[in-house]
Amino acid sequence: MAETRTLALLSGNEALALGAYDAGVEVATGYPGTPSTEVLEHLVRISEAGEVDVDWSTNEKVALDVGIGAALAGKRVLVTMKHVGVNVAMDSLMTSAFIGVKGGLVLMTADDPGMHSSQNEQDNRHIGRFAGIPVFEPADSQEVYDFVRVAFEASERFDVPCLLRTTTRTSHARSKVEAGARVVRAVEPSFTRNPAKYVMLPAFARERHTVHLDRLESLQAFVEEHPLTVEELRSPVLGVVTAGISYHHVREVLPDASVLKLGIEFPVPTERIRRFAAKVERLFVVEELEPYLEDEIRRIGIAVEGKRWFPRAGELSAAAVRKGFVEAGVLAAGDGPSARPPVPGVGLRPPVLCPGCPHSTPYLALGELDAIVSGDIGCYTLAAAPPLASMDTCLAMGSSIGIATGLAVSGLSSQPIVATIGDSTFFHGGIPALLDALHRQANIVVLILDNGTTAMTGGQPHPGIAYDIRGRMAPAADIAAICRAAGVTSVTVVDPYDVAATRRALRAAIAHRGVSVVVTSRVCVESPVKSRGPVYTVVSERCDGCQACMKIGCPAISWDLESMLTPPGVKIDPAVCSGCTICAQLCPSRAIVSVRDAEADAARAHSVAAAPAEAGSAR
Amino acid sequence: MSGVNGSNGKAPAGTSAARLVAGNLVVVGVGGQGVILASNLVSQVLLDAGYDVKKSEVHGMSQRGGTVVSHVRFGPEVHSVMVEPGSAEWIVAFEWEEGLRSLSYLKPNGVALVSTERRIPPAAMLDHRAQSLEYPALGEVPFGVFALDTFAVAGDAAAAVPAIAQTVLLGALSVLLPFPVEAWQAAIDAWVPRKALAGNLSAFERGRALAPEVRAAAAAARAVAPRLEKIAPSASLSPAAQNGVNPSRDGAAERLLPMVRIERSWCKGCDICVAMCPEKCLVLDELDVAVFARPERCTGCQLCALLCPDLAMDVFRVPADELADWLPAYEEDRVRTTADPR
Repeated sequence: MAETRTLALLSGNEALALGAYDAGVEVATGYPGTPSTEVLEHLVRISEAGEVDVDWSTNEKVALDVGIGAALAGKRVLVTMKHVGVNVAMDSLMTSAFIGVKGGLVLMTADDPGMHSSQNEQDNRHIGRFAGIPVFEPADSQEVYDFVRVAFEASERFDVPCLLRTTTRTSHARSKVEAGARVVRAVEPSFTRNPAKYVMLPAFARERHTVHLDRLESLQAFVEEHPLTVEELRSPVLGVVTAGISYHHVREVLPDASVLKLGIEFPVPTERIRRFAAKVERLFVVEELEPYLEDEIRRIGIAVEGKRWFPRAGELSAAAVRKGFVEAGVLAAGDGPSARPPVPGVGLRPPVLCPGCPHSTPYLALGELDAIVSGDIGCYTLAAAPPLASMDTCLAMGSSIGIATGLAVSGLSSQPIVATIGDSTFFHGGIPALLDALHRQANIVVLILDNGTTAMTGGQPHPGIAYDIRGRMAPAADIAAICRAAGVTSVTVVDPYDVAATRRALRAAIAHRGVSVVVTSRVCVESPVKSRGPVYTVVSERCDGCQACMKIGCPAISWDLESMLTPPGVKIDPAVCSGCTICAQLCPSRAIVSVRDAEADAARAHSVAAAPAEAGSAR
Repeated sequence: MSGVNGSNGKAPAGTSAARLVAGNLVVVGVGGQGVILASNLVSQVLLDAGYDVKKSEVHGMSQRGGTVVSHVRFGPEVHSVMVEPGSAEWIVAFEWEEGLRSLSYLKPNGVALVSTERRIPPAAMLDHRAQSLEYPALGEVPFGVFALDTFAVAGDAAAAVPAIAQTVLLGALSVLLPFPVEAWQAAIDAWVPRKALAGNLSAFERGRALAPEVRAAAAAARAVAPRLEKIAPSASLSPAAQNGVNPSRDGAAERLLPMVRIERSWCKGCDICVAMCPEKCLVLDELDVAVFARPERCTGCQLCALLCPDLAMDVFRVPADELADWLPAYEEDRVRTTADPR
């Protein structure tokens, strides 16, 4: 009998890493993206380098390709990404079901209903159905742990990649996990030539499409009776079909309702649903985002209520589910807790760039230059918010350069057109777009914000970093050299902590015709280590209250409301200041000085004041 | 449904744990304050006491100085990972504004232990002209809030690491939950970095020493900590606020607005004021003479007047309704230049 061990509270992502490890995963890869990032990071913590080959890939498509290659060599493979990352991997994913796997391949898609850290809230169950691969959706950390093991087995049994869908509230919530014994696979890697299966020429692909369709039928039979789908019969009046995190909201709000909880959502176990529907008088489906199950249930001719009562946009909560059931007449209006009204005067607290963020200077400069700025995905997207307010578009990973090219070739010429993109994003999706801009001779500036890490997701290495996820040495690609090799004739590397040099570099780049590149090179202030210099302070007698430093949006700088100036002067919180010097460089009155200089000045003033007395006594 | 216990004035003891069936706790603060660590620590105590525990928070973007909310739910079997609005027995808030924001989670008879630490976000200070601060005053303590000057209570315990001050709130929370102090100490030991351990344990004890006040607050579900009165004078945010420097948003009628007068015959078009104005209020006209083109953005900082080598500029304040009379007829220039000022 397998040993079991109860562990402390694990997040869904930690449970996924542990589940994959215990299932004998040997290769794991992905691209960082909230809420998926911690899976690989935890896997690194719990495994040895010799046991599991873990590393980040350049982007999600590369990650999936690496995963498929390893699976074809017979390894069990975990590939992780966020929901929009799967879009990048789509090309490979759509045909992956045709060529199949040998070792099991589980692709984790971490969806983000409510868009806590994302640009959209697409429902990736649709992607599983589109690609024709099984979709598993666990509801809590224990289920994540259990489901990933089942998913590996199903992947091998049906020779198909499996999609494991989590949402922010399964990935980032913590609950108890009871872990089973670890499977040690130790499969010798081998590759058997099989062009008819692995080379998707049209002639072979036609054959494989038939195999794929036949497999869907056997998968249907597999899910219909699978124990991951659980029928909980309670009330004969009310039945709810649900899956994932929504299950817990339903149990919270309607503890007496009968529930059919689906563990596998593609293929949809329609016969199971039909049998369940026959046992209840009124059938509901509660699911986050799209009416995916609802449409499927309607399609087989069963009356069901769903999105009529529950929102299609945003995250579900017990409160939202309760509201839906009240409107549907299942619950009385007074049921459930009532919240007090908001306290007046409480303002917004949007996320901001960190104190000392090297991204603030380039966006300050771009604001002064009145450029059209096409932005990209990363911390620097926060520069779209005031006071920097220097970003005009942001679409998807790597889109900034293509959009800037499109704006330029459309003939806009009254304002400079600048694409801004981070280092990790440049490697992920910026390089093909840069080549395109060069080929079209688009008159744009590409500003590459190189902070030596993937900062937004917590500081993961990328191809430009000299170490890997386990901290071992790795070859580092040189961004400026890549740009020069691609044919950019104007490449400037500048330190963004030098405000004047950054302004000069951007002005020169704008003056240059064609594609020019400015790389702002300064390591992230938070990662890999927190960098802290001598902190700065405001000499209040010199401060004019001109607000020039307030343009940075630095969290360390605030109005000194005790000051008698109109407008008020500013002060710097020494506990928050990173000592980056940007505000000191912006201050026209030189009122911002390092604490050390301020102390030296004070000491000097003291000695000058004391001097006449000493001089007098000497005379 | 879920029983609240611990507000009966009796010393907490392990034996009364059975009386606390289930509960909801919300821990809030600003990214970087240690909210997630604190909720991990409380979860550990609950887990060790034998409850099913679920904990949830959103990280990622919100770590960048934004709001962090951590939900902790416990009981015999917990389903939803999020605390519903109006259903938290306890709130622990590491920051004043976040504490007030989180009150929507509080039960009518719940208690919010709120630090008076203020982290005023850059977003509250965007109006450089009127300087109206978007931040709730400290003076008014809403019903159910136990306001605590955590820095004052922590004292030298937090001298080295300011974040330790908030551990005072966990000490105060421990008074309201029926678990032995050893369980809390063990959890602190398990979760806190070694070098901060002594400071955290000390801050925890100081918070726990407030037991009478905390219990009284919980009993009344309403509290104004004695310490708050001490900070109340500065709580009105600024003496400047009273003399019109930082007017409230509804007192704008009496405001004096800044005016920049330019002696055109003295201006030689050197461009210094145009380049240096932080709000970009000034432009050169077709004769290369400086023009006060965007008076609606001027904060009256006087930088232009201070920098003008020809002393051609003069900044002063005029009543709002008289500003139009002061502004010369540069309308054409204004139309030309106000396209989209950044």
